[in-house]
Amino acid sequence: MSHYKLEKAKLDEFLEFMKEKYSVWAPVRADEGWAFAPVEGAVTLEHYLLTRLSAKQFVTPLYETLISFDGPEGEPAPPDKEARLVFGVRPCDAGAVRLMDRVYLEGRYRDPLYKARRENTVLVVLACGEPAPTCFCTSTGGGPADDTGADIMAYGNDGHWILKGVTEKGKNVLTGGGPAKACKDKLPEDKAAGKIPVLWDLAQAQKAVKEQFENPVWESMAQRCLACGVCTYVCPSCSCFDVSDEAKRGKGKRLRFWDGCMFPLFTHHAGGHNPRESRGPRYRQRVLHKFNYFPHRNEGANLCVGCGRCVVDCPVNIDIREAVRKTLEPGGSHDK
Amino acid sequence: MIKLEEKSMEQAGQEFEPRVLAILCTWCSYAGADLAGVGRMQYPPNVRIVKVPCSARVNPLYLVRALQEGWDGVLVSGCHPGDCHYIGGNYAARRRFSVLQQFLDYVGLEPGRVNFSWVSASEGAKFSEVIETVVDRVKKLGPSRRLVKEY
Amino acid sequence: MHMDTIKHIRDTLSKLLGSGRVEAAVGYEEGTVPLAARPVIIRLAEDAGKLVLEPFRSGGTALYVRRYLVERRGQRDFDPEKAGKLAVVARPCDIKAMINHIKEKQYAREDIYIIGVHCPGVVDRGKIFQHLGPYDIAEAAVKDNVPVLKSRTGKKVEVPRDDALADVCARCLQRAPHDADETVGKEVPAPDTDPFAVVAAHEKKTVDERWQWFETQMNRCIRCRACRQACPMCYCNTCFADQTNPAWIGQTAADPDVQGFHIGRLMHMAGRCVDCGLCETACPMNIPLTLLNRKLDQVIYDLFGYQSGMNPEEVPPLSTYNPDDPNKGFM
Repeated sequence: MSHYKLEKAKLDEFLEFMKEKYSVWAPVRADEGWAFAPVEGAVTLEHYLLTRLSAKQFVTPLYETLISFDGPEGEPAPPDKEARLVFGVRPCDAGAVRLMDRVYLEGRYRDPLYKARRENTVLVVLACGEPAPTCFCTSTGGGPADDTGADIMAYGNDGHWILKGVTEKGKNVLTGGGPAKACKDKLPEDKAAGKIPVLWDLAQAQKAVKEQFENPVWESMAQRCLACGVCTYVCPSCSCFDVSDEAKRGKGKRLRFWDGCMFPLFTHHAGGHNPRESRGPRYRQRVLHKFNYFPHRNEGANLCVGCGRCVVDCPVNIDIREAVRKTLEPGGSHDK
Repeated sequence: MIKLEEKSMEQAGQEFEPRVLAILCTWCSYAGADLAGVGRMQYPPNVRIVKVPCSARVNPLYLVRALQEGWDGVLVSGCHPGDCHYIGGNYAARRRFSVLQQFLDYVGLEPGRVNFSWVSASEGAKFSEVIETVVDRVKKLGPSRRLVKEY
Repeated sequence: MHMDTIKHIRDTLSKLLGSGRVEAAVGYEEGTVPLAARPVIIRLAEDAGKLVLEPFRSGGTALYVRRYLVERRGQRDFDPEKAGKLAVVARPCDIKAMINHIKEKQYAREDIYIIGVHCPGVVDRGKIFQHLGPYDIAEAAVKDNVPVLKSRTGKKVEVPRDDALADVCARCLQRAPHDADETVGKEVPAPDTDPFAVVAAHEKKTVDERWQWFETQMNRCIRCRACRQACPMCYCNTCFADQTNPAWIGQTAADPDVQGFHIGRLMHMAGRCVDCGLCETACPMNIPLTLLNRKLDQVIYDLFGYQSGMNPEEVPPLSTYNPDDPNKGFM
């Protein structure tokens, strides 16, 4: 299996070359930090670690049309087949996209809109060199050089990247020419994994969170929760959505858009009943979904990928690492 | 029933004819509009009238909603201050709309899209003048594009 | 913040909780990430020892006061005779919010015990992130009002105080707690600035430029509602933006929908906003929302001479009227 070598100085050339076939996206500095944006001009990745919003927006956009209708006539929206290449995704985000594949492509119902996007998007994943203090991917079954979900994996080494085609799609991109040259170099050593302390035994954690269902820790952790939903929006693996019809005089659209389990109205029933009206149960559900319910149905694959975005962005510092750790303490935590 | 059509007139190359929504209070402004009609006073036909009991009934969100639905201009009209059928309704509306108008201007909505007036039941002539003024203003601004939502 | 101030707060709360004079207290405790001092509600006197008061803002306390007292009232076994007070560590903007809550009959002044803190302002995380990104900061501390940061690669970065101070704090004239049962901290002189200068500056732009700004900022909004949830004054059981049948505004993050959301929310804030800046702090996209709030404060002040959250006897301006109000803008 051959690898490819790309000089870091030739990144702009590489992206320009890709523009012939793809709409190319890369991280750029924005008001909120780093953000994926269409490439216009030179791209510099100095000090880049993570974008504020994850790569999930490429497969599950903020909002999309499902059906358009005018009076009694309607038709499903055509799937988005635009060819995109996203450079600079991180292994945690790519791992999360792979987890969403299980939900949207491998369940009982196959989502054609998701499928179209996923098939037409090339994810070029950069292995991480220097992790953030809030990274904990090694505690959720991932790692800074993990290639799950990637189409092309890029390993940084001195002044170049070694690129590896992970999927057929990725391999085809690399064999298509351009500034990346085939080489016989071995993959560089993963120096970052050692810098991310493992916080717990994942299998144990997955069990403990469920066992501590009645533990008052959920109520006390969620005490300061604002139900603002930022955690669910920045999370790379949160894909809950809401559907709404919007029309004016019979002409309109059925839309699908991001929803969050932390919003108070998430489980609000049409009859007015809300089984998760308070913050404690909602927070418990969120952590359990990530660390127990999803893994239980998916051969242990953890839905939280340890990117740390919710930890940094929660306005009141509700820390999922703290929540899981508290359930692992002997006898469970009982702080009020 | 009112059906809001596409801006087909503009596409056909004809002069832009704005669509203006007028929300009138029952006791004064609507009666004033009636008087204008009875007195055969001419005013531009671009206006569509919605009758409310009092200008205070008008939630600022109605105006935002109207702009989102593509109305080129909006007018809210009530009784003169001191003459409200419900004593103080128009005073409350006056405060509310002063704030709304300045805020919408700050946010960048063109002045003249939202308009406010006091028209009494005997002011048929004033009503038609107000409509003339508003339609003229909105015509000069062109079709509304800010805040418009596509359905 | 000085150790004496923190010690004073800890001692006071320890005594109040221990003697049963208050049943719980809302304060701040240390967070798990740099630049975070998160809100906490404590009930035991010994927990008072973990309270801190950092010049970083992570959630004001007023919102928790309202939530605690309203939820308590809704509980089946609530007995108003036996209910204790709630102590709160409050900055002047928190006090303003609580005075507004009292005006809006959310609870009574007797229900709370305010420990007011003289406030020189807080450090704005969004501004710090311009110097060192959100995932880059390994450690942060404030020495003599200057944030000193250490990056994940070991680099040290000092952020000039004026660069780090939150915009709302830089123009705040209310540095002293104007209604408190106890006051702590060193007195801070109010700045000699025009609090509405930022509005005047924005108004120098043309209407089209202002729209351009608004459209660009709203385009970045992802409709997460963090601004609304973090705001101490936003507490409707069902927000107008969540109503769907009929709907005031669309549900998605499409431009007209978020424009309608912010215009609607801010109109509901007119005369109520206390300029605490929590909306901006909570926003994951760093949208400068306080520039919009400020305009409403200015309009309310110009037209009706009213300042939000100062005097509990003053009636909110949009809940009343005066026959001599100005007629500006009416034909």
